[in-house]
Amino acid sequence: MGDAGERATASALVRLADSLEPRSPGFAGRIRDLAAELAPAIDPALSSAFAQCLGRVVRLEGVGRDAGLALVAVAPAVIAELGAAPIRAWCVGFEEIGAHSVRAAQAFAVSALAALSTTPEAAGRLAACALAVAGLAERHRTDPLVPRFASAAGEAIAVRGGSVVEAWARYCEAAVFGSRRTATHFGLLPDADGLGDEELSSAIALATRAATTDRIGGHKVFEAAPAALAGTPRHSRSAVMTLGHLLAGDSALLLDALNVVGPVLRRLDRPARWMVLDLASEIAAVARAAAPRFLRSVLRVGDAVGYGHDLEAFVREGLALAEIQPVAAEAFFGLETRGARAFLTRHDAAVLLEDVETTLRGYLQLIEGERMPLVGVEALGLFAPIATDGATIPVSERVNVFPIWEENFTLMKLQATLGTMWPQEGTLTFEIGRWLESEDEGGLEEFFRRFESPAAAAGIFMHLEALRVMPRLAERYPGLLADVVELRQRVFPRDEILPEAGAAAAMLFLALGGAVERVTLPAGKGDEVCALARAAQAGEATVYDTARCTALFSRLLAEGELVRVYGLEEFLADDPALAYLLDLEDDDTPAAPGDDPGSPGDLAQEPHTGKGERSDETSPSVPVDPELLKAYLEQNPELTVHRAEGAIDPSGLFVAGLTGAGMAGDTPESNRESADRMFAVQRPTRHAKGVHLHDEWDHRIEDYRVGWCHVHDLEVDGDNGTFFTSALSEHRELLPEVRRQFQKVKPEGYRVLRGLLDGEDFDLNAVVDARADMRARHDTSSKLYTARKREERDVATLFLLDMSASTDEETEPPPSPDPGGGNDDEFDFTVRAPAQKRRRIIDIQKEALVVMSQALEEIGDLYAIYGFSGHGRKQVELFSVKSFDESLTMGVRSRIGGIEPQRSTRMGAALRQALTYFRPIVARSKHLILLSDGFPQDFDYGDDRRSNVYGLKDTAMALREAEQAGISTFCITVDRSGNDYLREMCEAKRYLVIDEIDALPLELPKIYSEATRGG
Amino acid sequence: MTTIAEAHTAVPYYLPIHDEVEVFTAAYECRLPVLLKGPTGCGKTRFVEYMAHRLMGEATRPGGAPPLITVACHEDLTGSDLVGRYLIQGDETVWIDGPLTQAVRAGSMCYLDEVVEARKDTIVLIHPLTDHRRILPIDKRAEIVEADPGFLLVISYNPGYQSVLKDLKHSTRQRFVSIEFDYPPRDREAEIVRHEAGIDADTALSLATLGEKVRHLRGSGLGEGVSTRLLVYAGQLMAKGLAPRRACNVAVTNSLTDDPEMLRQVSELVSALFAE
Repeated sequence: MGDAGERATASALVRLADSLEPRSPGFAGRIRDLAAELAPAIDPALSSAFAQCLGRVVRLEGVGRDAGLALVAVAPAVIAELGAAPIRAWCVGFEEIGAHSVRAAQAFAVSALAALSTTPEAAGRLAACALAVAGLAERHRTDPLVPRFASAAGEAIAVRGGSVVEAWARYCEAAVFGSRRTATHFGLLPDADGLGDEELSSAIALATRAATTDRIGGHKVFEAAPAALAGTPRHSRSAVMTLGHLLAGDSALLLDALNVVGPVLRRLDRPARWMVLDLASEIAAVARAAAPRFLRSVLRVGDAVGYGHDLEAFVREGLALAEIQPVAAEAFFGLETRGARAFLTRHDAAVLLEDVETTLRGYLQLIEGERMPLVGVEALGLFAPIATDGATIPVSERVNVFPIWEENFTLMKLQATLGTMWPQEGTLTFEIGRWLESEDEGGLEEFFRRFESPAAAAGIFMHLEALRVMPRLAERYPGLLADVVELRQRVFPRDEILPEAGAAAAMLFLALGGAVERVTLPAGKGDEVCALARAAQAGEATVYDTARCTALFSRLLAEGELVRVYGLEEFLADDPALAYLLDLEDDDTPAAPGDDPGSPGDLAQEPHTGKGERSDETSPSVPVDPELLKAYLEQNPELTVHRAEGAIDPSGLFVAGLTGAGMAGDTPESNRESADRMFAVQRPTRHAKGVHLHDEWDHRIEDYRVGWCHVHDLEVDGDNGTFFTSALSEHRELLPEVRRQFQKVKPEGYRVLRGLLDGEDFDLNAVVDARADMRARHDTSSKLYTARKREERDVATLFLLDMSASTDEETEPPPSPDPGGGNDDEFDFTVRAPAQKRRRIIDIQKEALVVMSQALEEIGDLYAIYGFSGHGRKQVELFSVKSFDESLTMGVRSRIGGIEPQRSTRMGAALRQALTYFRPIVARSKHLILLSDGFPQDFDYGDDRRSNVYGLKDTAMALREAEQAGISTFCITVDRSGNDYLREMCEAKRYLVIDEIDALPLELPKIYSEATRGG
Repeated sequence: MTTIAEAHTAVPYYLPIHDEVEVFTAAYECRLPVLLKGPTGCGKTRFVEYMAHRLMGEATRPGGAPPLITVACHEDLTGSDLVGRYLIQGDETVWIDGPLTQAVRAGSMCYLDEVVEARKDTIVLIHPLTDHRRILPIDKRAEIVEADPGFLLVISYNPGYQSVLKDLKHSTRQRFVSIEFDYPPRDREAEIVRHEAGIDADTALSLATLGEKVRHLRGSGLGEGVSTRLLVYAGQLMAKGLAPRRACNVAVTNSLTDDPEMLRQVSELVSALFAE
């Protein structure tokens, strides 16, 4: 560059400086300095463009203001690199915005210039971006938020293009402008890796739409949508957006749907994704609120019925409900109703332990003679891991290997049966010292621990051990074996193992009771397994043979012999552990993460590493020569396990699969939990003793909500019996009366039998007839007697007491008994206690129970007392005061006294639980007497807290269930307005409203004797 | 296989489990009344038939009474039902001896099955028959019948399912020699089932195993577990060509319980033991 050039450069800037000199000598001076610096660095054309732009900026904003200063401050090298065009574009943008708001233009110019100087790509985005800001500035000329947005938008060009900024501007207009409260919200542009500009702007557009009806909710969508969208597979994003727009009217629903849609779609294969999204959109169009619930439940439904006609049929059934009652559809798609559950059971081939647990427990008790603790675990391959302490019988939580429910159940039954056999087959007495012929101590745990991958070793060991005990199982349970043979033939239709199938296939084949004669393996390629099977057949194999075989097999792992199992694909592909046995080319395998080529980031982002996914964490086992291993173990018993680093070698997938599915740390557990949180229908809290699940009737959906209420078994804290004693002495005078009442009940237990050949008295009618017949010379009957047949009184009654907070209310003080004992002396100067003893409704109810139980003890009828309360459907509490098999002990007396008001009144659930207490009771007549002080009520007893209809209908249904179970019910309430709702709940003769609550202790025995008459 | 018709004429099949045959024989020699205790269907009735046949032969007793008279007791069974009653026939009253009276007069063995089921006044009737007096007072006829020397009273009682209310009174209980019965051990039961049902030994053993395992549930919902009799029924059905699983379910499972869950569990057991 020559002098002339330098001069030219200098001259344009210097001329500008000169012209600005009068207004701001300082600014002019800085321009001159810049000119001097620039002169050697840039060419005259750029220099003059620069000067021109600076001039235009100054013209608009004045001398030495933000934009101008910012431009002057840019380093010469940066200017040189940028070139003229971006600077011109920058200037144009500035002017466009400046036409509406100079301050906004300045803010934009400053931040955009910073972005330009760091990110060359920003130049191309500048124009569109400026246009968006200019538009906003035009519409909201004076709003102080505009400059702030302009500044942020300028920054944004470093990362995003004009369409995003445009969408962002629209969002801000909808959500932010006009509301100062949300003003702080828009500062941050949400972003997510892997999203294109168009996708991001469509996500923001969705938020904008949501914000038009609900700003706060819209903002949540604004923050969440991009990440959610980025979490969905790329090709389905536009369909997700379509679905989003259908839900945009309710941002809570939209958020819910966005949260689940990604993880759900990632677990599906492509056709299933389309189908699910189509169906979800269809649902959203009809019953908006049901769509997110559908997304939550679709994996479970699809898992059960597949992603085909049955799933469509499921949706049709739900949509049909929606036409009648949207709530019904919501409950249906949430799998909360019996109807939905029934649909699944009709179509589901998977066996869930929770569904068959009772059956299996009973089965185990039958074959073993004692109760066996059954626990649900993740299977390793076909079988559940051996419980090394022998304390439990582990079976799969869920078996979905075979296409038919019965077959899956057979597998679970096989797992359970095997679980009972380990103790007898010497499996659990394994001692590592004996195996190694060393001093080492430890059992199976220790044995597994010494492998590179303990979980893999445990998995192999278990299959081999199953193979070993199979002959004994066949002997003891020939029927079970016959069923297992069917399973085997499904997997191995030819019922044989050819050499190329490999050792893993042979192992499975033999573990399913296959004949060793039908297995051909090349020498050295797993023929140990056949040897083990032969030894087992001969009854010579011990657990140490299994252990040796396990060690040998670890070598095969490395040689790839365990990888391929022919014929299993079709059935076992769904099984996470066994999927690794298969050589699946996984181009579009549902479970594989990162199925969008070119977005390696997906892997890292995958929030839920599902149980079936290949994870980089699990790496192949290193081949171990058994002899070497043995030697090594002897030298180094404290050997710790190292995981191999590096890429997955297919030969290790068997191990990796076993590890990934099973015992390696707590990962699967936490995965399952998070997955549950995300999708699952509420499940019972296993192991939590004393929690019972009960269905609840929802009159709006005309179906039961399944497992809706959690009823907790609790016991009342006693009060040492003081209340009982004092109440008894207080109501002393009642007892004889009650006793008289009950005496009247007893003699009614006779029934007159007529027409007997012999008896206590003549049956006069029969005698007269016989006499008449005789006169008429007819044949006469000789059945002329009657007899009284005594009916044993055989009654069981359960008193169910409402312990809701409202029973804490005090009653009007009762007419206080005269201290003088009926002496009406008006000159009685005895000082009365200043305050009457505080008598609450519950106290009187308790007193009634005291009198009642005392009297019942005398009459000898079977009875129980329970109280109920709770808070919400997950916390219904049933307090045990006296069970049927207890007598009126000190403990019971003290618990009656200890009854105290608690919280709500969820009657239906309490009734249903109470009914279960009748199950073991054999009595001719069973009664349930419900004592309450108001209508059923709980904060989530129906959607509308103010309405008691839901609760009434549910309670009515629970009462009807009781009648169906042969238990007659009677409701007593001390609420004077009780007639209004009791009429809705039960027949007129099945309830009583007690006006004078103080009469309850006297009335209750009367009601009792009336209700149980003839029992 | 012994057919049912033959069973009455031939010696009833009975496989002794312990020393019950010797005990009973000794008791009969002394004319001591015998109480058989044990669950339903474990072979009490068959044992009595066998012993009656063994001790008293087939011959009809004097007066036309059979050697063994069995009365199944129930809660409406009155004293008159046992002792006898006047019946009005036309203008006349006719006295008819009850089964107990018949046995006392003829010197038969009288077996009162499930005696606690009978009304309490009935049980008192047998007291004078069971001590040294060996008499039966008949109030209505003002008659006292002395027992024939051949007469023996045998009662049975099932301690398993009797409620406290229906326990046998001590005054009654202490008049009897008690022989305890239970279901036979597996191999013996298999032998019984094999003989009675006419099936092969393996199937019989499977049935006995089924019985043994079902009895594991005794006390937890299944009452007394399955009786040997039901196992024999199942075996008989199999012998007629019914598929084993089906035979077990109709003869055993469904007879045990109505509870659907329990049905399920037992039929799972059945399918674990029987292949088809």
